[in-house]
Amino acid sequence: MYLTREQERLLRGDYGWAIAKAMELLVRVGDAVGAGELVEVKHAHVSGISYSNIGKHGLDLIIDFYRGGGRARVYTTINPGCIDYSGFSRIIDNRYYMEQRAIDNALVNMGFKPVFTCIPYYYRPPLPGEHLAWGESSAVIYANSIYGAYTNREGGPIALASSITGYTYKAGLHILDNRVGRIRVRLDPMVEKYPVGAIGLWIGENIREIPVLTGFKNMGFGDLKVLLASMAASGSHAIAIIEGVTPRKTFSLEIRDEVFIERGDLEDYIGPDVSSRDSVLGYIGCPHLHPLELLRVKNLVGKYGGVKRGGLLITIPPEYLTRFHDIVFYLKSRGVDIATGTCPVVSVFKQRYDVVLTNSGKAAFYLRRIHGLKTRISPLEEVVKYVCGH
Amino acid sequence: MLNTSVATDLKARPVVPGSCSGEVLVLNRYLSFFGEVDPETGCLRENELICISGKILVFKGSRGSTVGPYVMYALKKSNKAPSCIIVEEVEPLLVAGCVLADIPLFTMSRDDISRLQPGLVIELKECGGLYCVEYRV
Repeated sequence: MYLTREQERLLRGDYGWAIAKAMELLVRVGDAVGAGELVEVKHAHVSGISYSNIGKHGLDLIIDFYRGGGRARVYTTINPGCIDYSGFSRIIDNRYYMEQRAIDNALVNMGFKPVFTCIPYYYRPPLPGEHLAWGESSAVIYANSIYGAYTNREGGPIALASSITGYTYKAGLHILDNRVGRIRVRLDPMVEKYPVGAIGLWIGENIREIPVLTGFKNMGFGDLKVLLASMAASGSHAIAIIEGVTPRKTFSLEIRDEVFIERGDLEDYIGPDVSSRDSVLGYIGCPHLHPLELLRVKNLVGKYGGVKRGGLLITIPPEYLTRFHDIVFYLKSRGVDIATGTCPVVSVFKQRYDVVLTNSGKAAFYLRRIHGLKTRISPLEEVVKYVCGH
Repeated sequence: MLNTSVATDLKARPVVPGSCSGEVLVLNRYLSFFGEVDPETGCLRENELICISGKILVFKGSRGSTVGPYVMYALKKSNKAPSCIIVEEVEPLLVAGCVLADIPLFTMSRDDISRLQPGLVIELKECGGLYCVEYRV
């Protein structure tokens, strides 16, 4: 790989262990995937920081990077941790409070912005063609597909390495020639009423190449977010070309095949029916809710008067607690369980429910696998109606 | 033990270069360090008699969670890391884990891997850009 003189100095250890290690990480991984050079990034988003996921060893590594002199060289945000920072939630278990705080302290001291959210584009919407180093698969696919930014799925510690060096390896979706849509995906009109979370899971599992979504442009951004996050969970997609949405000149098309999603395709992804004997947790906020979605949930809950059976959990960035405290406290007063800066995918449940009813295919996918829970996917309105509408 | 070595025509390509010698342990499968390897003992969770510490760990390739690199780092810190790793396919997370934990990583063709004798002690020596496999007898 070609390195500039400055990059060579970083790699050689002139700026300390952490930066040298981070450079080595980027150069070696880049070499392994055939990158010819490094590219400067504008924004790093560091995932893999939840103690319940990475444990003591992840904590040790992050602290070693901090002590070794690692500091943010570019704007850096961080993913949710495993505790509810509001302290309101009765559902999310704060058993790893001290451990998560130790990780958080090291990250904040490295100069990372403690947003604890999986929607970093709420804080800094990227520009088309900007190079980013983002972890968090749902944010990566959103950045590439909606904003036309350039980022790979930077797993684990690689986004951290990009933050403290300012670079990532130039391969994959950092190169325009690799951003080629090949399979056109259309929806049967009968399917349009189906939950987008299930449609996303289907696409993720059944399409290998970069899909071109035709006829999806009228979906709201909240639904597109859930659709893309679900695709990225069940497949390893990092981009979808959404006709009418994805900015021009950030992709090209070489369509080879076309698929049509029909109703029968989706039944398996929606999950089993909920019986009236089941205790049901409604869950909305995977990925975290945008303020407009929060308002939509507030209006729906208000229409029905409040939570009447089971529970309703919503997850949001911690900052909403102050910026939108009127909405948050309204929802809380109507029996909604609020957790900030975390989500069930990266944390531990305190209460058991028979079924989790969610609009998110991603949440359904991971809650089945990580927590062994029964899940069912429904549109957002139906989730609220189920727990509030009796 | 006589300390002689026998050259072979087996070759490995370095991904994370470094010295590599030890007893060969072949796992004929894909491996996720997160969940499948106990970082405290260096043994597999499904069979505690199979331990990777100090071995030349040979498997098809890595799979699974982005937490994998952290587990490899943990193995190193608890002195339970393999001496080096040889795989058929590399993917970015395995490379990241090996760099973080200073574990040399090599790739070999499937045919060459099938000719490695489990349980024997081998050493990888640099030879013309690649690494040549030598048996220690």
